[in-house]
Amino acid sequence: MSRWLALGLISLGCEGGFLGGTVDGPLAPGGVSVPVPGDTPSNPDAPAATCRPSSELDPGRVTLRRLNRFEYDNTLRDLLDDATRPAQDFPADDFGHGFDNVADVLSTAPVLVEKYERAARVLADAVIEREASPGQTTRVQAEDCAKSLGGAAGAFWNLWSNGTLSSTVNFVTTGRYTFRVLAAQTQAGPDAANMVLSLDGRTIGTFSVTGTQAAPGTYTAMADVTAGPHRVEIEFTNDFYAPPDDRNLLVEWFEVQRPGTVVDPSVAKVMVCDPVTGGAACVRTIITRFGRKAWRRPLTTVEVDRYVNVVTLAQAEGEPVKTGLAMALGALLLSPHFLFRVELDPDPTSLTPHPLTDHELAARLSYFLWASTPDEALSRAADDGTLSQPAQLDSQVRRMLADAKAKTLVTKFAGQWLWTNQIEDAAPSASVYQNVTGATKTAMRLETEAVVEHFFTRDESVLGLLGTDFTFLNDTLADHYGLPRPGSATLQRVTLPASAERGSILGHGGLLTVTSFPTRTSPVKRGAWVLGNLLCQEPPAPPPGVEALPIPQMPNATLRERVEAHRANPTCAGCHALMDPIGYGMERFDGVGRSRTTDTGGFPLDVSGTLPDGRSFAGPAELSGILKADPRVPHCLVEKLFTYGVGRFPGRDESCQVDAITTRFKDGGHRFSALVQAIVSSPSFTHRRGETP
Amino acid sequence: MTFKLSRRFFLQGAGASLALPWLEAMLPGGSRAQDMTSPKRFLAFYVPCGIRMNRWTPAATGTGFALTPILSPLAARGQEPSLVSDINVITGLSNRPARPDGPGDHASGTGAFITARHPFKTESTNIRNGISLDQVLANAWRGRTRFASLELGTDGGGSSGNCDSGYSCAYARNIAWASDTQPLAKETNPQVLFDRLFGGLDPNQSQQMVEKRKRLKQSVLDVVKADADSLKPRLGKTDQRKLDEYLSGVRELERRVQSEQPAAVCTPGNRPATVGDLRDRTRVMLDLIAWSFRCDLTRSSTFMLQNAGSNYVFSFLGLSDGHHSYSHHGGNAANNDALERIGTWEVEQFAYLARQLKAMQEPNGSSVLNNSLLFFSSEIEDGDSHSHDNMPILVAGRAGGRVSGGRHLRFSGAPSVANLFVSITDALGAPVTSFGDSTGPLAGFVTSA
Repeated sequence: MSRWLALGLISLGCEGGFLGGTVDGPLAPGGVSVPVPGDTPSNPDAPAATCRPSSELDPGRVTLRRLNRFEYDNTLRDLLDDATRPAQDFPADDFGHGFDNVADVLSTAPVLVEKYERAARVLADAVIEREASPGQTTRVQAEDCAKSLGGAAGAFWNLWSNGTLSSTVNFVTTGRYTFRVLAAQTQAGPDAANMVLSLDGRTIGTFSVTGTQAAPGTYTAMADVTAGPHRVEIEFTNDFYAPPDDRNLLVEWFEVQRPGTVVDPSVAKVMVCDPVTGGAACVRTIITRFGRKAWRRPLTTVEVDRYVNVVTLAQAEGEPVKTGLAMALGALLLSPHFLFRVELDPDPTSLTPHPLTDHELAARLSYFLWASTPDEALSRAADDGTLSQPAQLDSQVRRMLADAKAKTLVTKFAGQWLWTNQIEDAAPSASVYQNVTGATKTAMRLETEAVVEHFFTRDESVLGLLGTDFTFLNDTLADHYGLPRPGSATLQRVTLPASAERGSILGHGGLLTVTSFPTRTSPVKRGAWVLGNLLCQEPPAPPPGVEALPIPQMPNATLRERVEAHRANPTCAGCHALMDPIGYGMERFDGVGRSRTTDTGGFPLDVSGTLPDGRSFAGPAELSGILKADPRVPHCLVEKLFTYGVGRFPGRDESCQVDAITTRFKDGGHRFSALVQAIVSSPSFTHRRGETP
Repeated sequence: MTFKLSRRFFLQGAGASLALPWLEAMLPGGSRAQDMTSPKRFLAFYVPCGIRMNRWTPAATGTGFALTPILSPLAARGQEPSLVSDINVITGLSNRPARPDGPGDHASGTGAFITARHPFKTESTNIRNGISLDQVLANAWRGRTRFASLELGTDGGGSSGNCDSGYSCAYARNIAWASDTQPLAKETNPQVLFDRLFGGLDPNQSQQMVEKRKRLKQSVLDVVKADADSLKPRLGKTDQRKLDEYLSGVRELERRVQSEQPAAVCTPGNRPATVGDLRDRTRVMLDLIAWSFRCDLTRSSTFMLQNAGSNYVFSFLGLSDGHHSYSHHGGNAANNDALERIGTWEVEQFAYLARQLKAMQEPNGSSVLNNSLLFFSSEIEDGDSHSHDNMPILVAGRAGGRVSGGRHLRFSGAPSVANLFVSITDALGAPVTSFGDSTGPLAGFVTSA
């Protein structure tokens, strides 16, 4: 099994003796693994005979798990219709095992608590409408704004490149204002024009502008503003210009409406009664209901009392009830019960497994599948105590996977698994690779996301990621690949000829770019990526002093010959025998994923390779075919999704559970939904235990 | 006098407060104005991927050594004063605990950067390092400034993949550690930092209003503390540790709420505009560090100019490959040339900050730089060897005169960098007798009692 093998690789440094003594080698077709002293060998294709029934397996335990930035923003979006995404100002979350939602790695620095406090205060204040007078509207024409660039276009101002319109507005009272912008775009490239609305430099709304000059759209945001002059700015951030395609943002006006009787839906959601007329009973109701949502479980009476008391204290200080309520709601969002996903053990020092409560299970499910808080239906199933019943759990999972929020499995899980989320940060050298623009990189990301989404949402084997007859392209990406244009700025499904190199994620430009150096390809990086991300056999980094040894200057040799000379050193050869053949198979593509027949030096490419087990292939399509049939690929996907879903790496003694999930995945035709069902119903997901004191 | 500040601060106009002379009344709280002993300050300045040592190390030792190419930004240039008499170049120190278990020098060297402790190799469970130097000082000075410490940097960091050979990203992205188990995440957005430092206080509030505001804020903190207190005994030991991190953050917030004062007038002016590439982000961050010292908002700070093993492409230096790729130079002349350019640029940034602080005057007439110690180094010595011996170290500032400047101190026998840290705590008036793997103070660093 891969974990033990990985440990073996590390402990043995994947040197010659290790591989030499292993006839089957790590890429054996049957997935025969390498026994490592002290560990039980296990086969990903068949659970070891020593496994006990699942009810007796150790479910492990997840450390108290803080919401990461993405989860925090999503949760507030779902609780309060918040669109400001306050966590964009939080420090980056650390990650482990390749994912940024691993509980042990998520720490809570004082600066983060400071930001939680501020965000909670701003968010809670925003919910409470504090002004009763009818809202008065001030409109500012784009023409009258300060403009960083652009020109008049009819009634609109055309921002024809990334730039801003700004104006200082005097806000007469403190309160929650509504901002509206009448805007349009000219469509070009894969994305709609992106418009950022900010107040004194702080983003209050981000919009994908889809309106046209003939039918402009009104884009609305709300923000709390203190009385006095403030600068309103409208910014166009994703200019795209590839003649004749030209994306522009056009703005006619923006307006600012004073707080008034207009109640926005987020307010109505929380303010279920009027605390001014409803008195203490209403305050209690609001806190009880909002607390239930925010904490993902009902509050105890003691807890409700504690928060009601915040309102009482504020009132005793002479503050209006609504101010006190805003403080109490903010406090609910600053509580550890909101910021952490609390799971309790009857005895925190007992190692006896016990099932999660239905509320804990609901939170695990929703953060796994949606990276957000449970919705009404899921909460109800938890309140009823029916969620843990297998049939109910099953139907909830199916319902949740069908929801649009499950797209986070593509953007966040697969984004981190397949490194899709690194593509737009890649910096290929402009002098070596011409015409690779931001639009190209975006299209690369969207291609992989679209293919992954296809396999995650359809009723077919997810192993199709390694070999299928289609991909998704727009004109930009088709040009980049040298394929026929689909005639569209947005990505379209395109059928590929049989066994085409682009019909596997190994032929996706994004992956090929992020596994390259800025100026050249790296067969080693690509090989290491396949080992680590598809086979869960990450090779160890080279020992000090040899990492990325300079490639020998051999003027008459191909890159491949030079790399091979470089690893002639026996201490290097062990690992490179694993990585390099895979990487050579992917040499068909250059450092930005374009097809080629010669290497950087102009020499003909040799894209054939022989794996340590003796199997040979020629080119990326055949390599993908070998991987597609390798049982360690689904097993590795189990390990990755388990880590993401449970928030921890499967423990050494969880091989039986991982093997059992892998078997269910296989029995389910390697459908993604079968994999999710298998993880969600495994004891590691539904149970936990305490910790030795 | 006026202070130099990135012109970006002025892009939105105004900046009127900048034109004000340096008045004692501008000191926060007013209490330090009477105290003519200027505060001591510390900054750790981190750069990744090592330094090209043969272009860094001065040939001569003692005073009067000639600056090397990478150290050349310390020399006088046009209107800019020389920093030579304000600095010490230190060679021959090692950071042995930074040596990783197997590969992983970048993460391990970064983790141990100012802890001089051995980071436990793990991707997730049992993250363990040691308290960092800036935090030892922050603890000694806690309560004297609004922020006990500031953790700053230019890069949040990548979002997937393996951080470094089995080491969690916690080691690769953080140099400040509050305890063995708690890394302190850093702020990388200058606008958000500006808001933290200079925003929030309404100078028109009456003392009565301020007091009431404090009571109300405190009532919110009380209720979440009550939640945490009743939760804690119901958790296992690992979970308790996580909750303790949260609780110490809440307590820090409490201290800040209690020390809030109206009328904070020490401010650099307008919020910085959206900033572009690494050059802009670095300069604005350094400006804000200078102002946080000048306004006495903090006295202990860390700054990471990128993260462990950064592979940033310095295209503005005419380079096309990544920093980390170049750093495995293999003796190749083109790679070494690239590393020299990067190293020189990094020292230039450090010198920029030092000059800012040199131009800022304390009430007693000395400069802020004179009262500070700024520690500059990298997570490894040389990119190819990944060595943790003979670390590239530059210290600016003279700790109020306790440290002589203008010297190249070369040590034999590879004493620990932790010895320097012990001496730094002494020079800054918060002495500890041991730190990390120290064996005592660093002989000759502190020159006057």
